[in-house]
Amino acid sequence: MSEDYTLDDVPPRYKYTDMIDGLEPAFVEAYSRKEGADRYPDIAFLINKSQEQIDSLLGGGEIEYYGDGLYKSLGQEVRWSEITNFFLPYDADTSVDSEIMSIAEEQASSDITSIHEEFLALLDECDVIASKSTLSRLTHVADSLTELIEKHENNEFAQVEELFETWKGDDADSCFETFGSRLRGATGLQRRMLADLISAASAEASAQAMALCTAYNTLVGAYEVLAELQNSAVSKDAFARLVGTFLVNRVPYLGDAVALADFTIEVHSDGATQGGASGMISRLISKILKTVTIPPPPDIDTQIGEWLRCAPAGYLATLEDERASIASELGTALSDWSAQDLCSIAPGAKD
Amino acid sequence: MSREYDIDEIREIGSTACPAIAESYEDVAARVSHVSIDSDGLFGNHSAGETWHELYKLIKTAMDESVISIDAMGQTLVAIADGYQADEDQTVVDLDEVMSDSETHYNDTERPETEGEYLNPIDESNRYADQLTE
Repeated sequence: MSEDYTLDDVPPRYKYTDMIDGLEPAFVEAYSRKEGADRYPDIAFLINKSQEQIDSLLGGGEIEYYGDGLYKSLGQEVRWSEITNFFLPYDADTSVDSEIMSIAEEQASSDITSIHEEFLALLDECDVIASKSTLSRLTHVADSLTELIEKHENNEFAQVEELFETWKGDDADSCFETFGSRLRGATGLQRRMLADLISAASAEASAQAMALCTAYNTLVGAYEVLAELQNSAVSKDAFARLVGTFLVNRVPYLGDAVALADFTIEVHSDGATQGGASGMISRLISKILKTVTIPPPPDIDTQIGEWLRCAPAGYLATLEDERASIASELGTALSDWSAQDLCSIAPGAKD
Repeated sequence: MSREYDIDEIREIGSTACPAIAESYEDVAARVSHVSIDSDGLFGNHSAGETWHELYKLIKTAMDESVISIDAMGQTLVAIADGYQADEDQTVVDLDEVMSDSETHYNDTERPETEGEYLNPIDESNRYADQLTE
């Protein structure tokens, strides 16, 4: 059912900006038709027709040409405007054409500006490069700690344990207390601390990838709908398809996060409660699938603008929800680990 | 108080095993410090970021302290081995003195018998060595 998103799938920031800017001509067209239809409701049936439909009406005789720029359809006398690209009343002043366009351009520009703002509010809360790099660096830490354990557990760790089998007395007791008895156990605790840190970073990266990919797919969906609207009558079906795209694309990210989670789960399963990334990721999945709120389909294409303005705030809210859950789990982990004696996580150290 | 020990084994752990473990921790600690290069951007402006960084700092402390403490422990063990060796040498000398000049009394305070005296080479104020000298 789902594609998996990883941080690698998140498009670069400029693509969001370009996609939003690219919507402007369609918005201008939508607003100009709306303005035209509001001004001249008698010919709204012509104004809201697509180019394809106009061609077909001309071919079929429903619109007839009478020469000198005059067309007639259902008793309405109209002229074709090269400025608005739709019919206007034959007797409408030529200044009307550019007036309609400048009103439409202003509205479209205002829409595009606020869509930019809403998307930027989400993009500014996400830092894909930082997340990718941090996860990669954390993986290197995990690898080096695993190497440390593999290298020393049957060698130096075992030798230290043997030392305290033959060495007795006050010196031996003191050394054993803060060092000898802590050495092997400390690596286990360190792994679990690290696992908690990786779990949280991984869940955050998942949430970011999900929010950003979904936001991008929303823009892609808007393009698909607009393409359809420009070639057909204004269609509720088209918007329903956009909503459908939106739903289908709200899939969880399961790439790097799960790979990193393996480390976490492995660590948590040797004794401690199974938690960490596995819990965070499964919670994330259920959250994504159940908190999708689908806005009611709008009646006309200009409402796509409204929908695009609102969508990013929803994705941001989901991201912030996830962050709140992560913060709560991190808080528990932090207080547990802070309560440890220093020598239990750093052998030989004295509190 | 009785004690059992193997001087060579204590010295070997102090001079070889501890430095080897400390060196591995150095690698881990270095990689931990690299994490902070890019991690500021995590969690945007959410407070989860602060908690995450607190946990990160605790892990960084654990790794940095492991390097220092295990290294210090190695030096302490070598010092203990040296101390035990000195005790044994002194005991031999004492016996020789007693046997060669039974009327001369040695000054008890010059003997490094108390454990603390040979445990001073490490200057870390919160290190294990201090605990031994307390």
